[in-house]
Amino acid sequence: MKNHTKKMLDGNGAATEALQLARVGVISAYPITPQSPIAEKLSELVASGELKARYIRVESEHTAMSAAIGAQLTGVRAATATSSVGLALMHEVLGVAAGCRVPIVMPIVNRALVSPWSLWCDHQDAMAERDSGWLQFYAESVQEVLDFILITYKIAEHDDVLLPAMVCMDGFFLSHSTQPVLVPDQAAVDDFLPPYRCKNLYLDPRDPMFINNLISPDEFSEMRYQQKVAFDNAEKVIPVVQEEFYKRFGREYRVMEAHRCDDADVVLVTIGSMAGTAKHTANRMREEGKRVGVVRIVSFRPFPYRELGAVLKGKKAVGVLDRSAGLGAQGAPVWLETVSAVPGDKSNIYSYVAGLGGRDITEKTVQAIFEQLLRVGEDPSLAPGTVTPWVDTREQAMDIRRIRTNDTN
Amino acid sequence: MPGPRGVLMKKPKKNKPGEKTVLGPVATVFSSVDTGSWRIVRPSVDGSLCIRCGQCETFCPTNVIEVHPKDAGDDVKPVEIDWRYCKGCGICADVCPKECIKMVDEEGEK
Repeated sequence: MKNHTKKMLDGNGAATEALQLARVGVISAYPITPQSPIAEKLSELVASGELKARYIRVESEHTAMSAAIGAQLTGVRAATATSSVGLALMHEVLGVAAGCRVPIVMPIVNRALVSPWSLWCDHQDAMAERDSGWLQFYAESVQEVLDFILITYKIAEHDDVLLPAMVCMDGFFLSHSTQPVLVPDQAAVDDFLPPYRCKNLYLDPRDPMFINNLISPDEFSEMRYQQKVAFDNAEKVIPVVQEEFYKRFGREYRVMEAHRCDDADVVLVTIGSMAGTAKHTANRMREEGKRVGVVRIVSFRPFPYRELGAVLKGKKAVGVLDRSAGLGAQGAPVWLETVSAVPGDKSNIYSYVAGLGGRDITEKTVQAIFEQLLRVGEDPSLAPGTVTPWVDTREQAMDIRRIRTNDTN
Repeated sequence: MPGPRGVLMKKPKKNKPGEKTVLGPVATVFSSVDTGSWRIVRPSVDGSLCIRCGQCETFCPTNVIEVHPKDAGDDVKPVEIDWRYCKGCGICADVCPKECIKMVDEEGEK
């Protein structure tokens, strides 16, 4: 039975449709490039009466998240969305949503963090929040943006989870890329996603609560442990909800995707929209007889370490392509997680950094990585620890700014 | 340009005298400083009505107005505006108690 309409939407449009389908009751959003179309479109829907919700015009992202938490505690789904430094400004309040177990679902339009100022795609904004107690899912396509938001509401609000969640889409590559999207009918979504009710803390004058009060060392660890248990539970809940979504809507999702990995000699681990380019490149190289595969991380929090470890075990070499720098660490964030996930020897897992600040991750970039991985074991320059992972950086990186100066120091 | 082997970082060239290599984002060519180019309307002052009270000078947000005293000479206009930076916001016209500043089309008289 057909229960959808096909529409042309970009990632921001798909996120807006999903929030509307989830019947959000309060919106507190602050515009920031490249998220602004979400904040703007939601305000238009509220103004026209198409979306029955209150729109709070906030003065910052810190307030946007604060207001969303307060609103959701009264018993409605509260919506907000942000990017980059907007997410950074929310940082303090993200912890409140997580610790008070308010399952807000927030689209994140991934954009670089300052400095240098950049409006363009980079995962550092979301990666900087990876330990903030929020679930994190990364979309590859515009359809996934819509589907993941609907799926994520059901996961986040599950009795055993009750965690807030970020649905991440790559700035511009997804947020401003128009693709055909199957938009489920409202009735079908209502059937999948029941009306919201507070299952934990709530604000009601009949039962006064002082939520988010000071906690002594006597209880802090226990409350943090409750959150850890919620992530453990989410690992079990996510596949169940994904399966239910598949049965109702016909689109199948997993916590991670393994593309042509079974007989692959080398595998590249990806996240976000770059996965499409990586899979396309792998398909092309397969035609040349090169046994390459691609993994795509869908759920970064919780991290699918069991599934990933099982796929990567015994491979000749593994590359992990991060879209954030991981400054000061041995490797970038997804690489660190991957290394932890793979049992036994990890010296053949290489960290790559590319696509920062909106730089395109091209077939050429991906192919260069695959070819390097295929030479591991034969090429002495690729012995563990000798490879610098910045694959798409200009060779003269250190002197791109030469200025005239009166400074004699 | 992808560095196919991942081997990077040519040694920087030596700086010439008066040159310096700096790290991070900075611009040293200022192509957008002439904020007067944003102007679509400009203040036009009727000097004969001006009482030199200085309200326009006080309220100008970009500090581009100078009101000259009467004894500055007959050939000195009472209100002088730095057209390189005046954005034409109209606050001077708004606060003038004698209403002797009018906002006119940028193409109009100075």
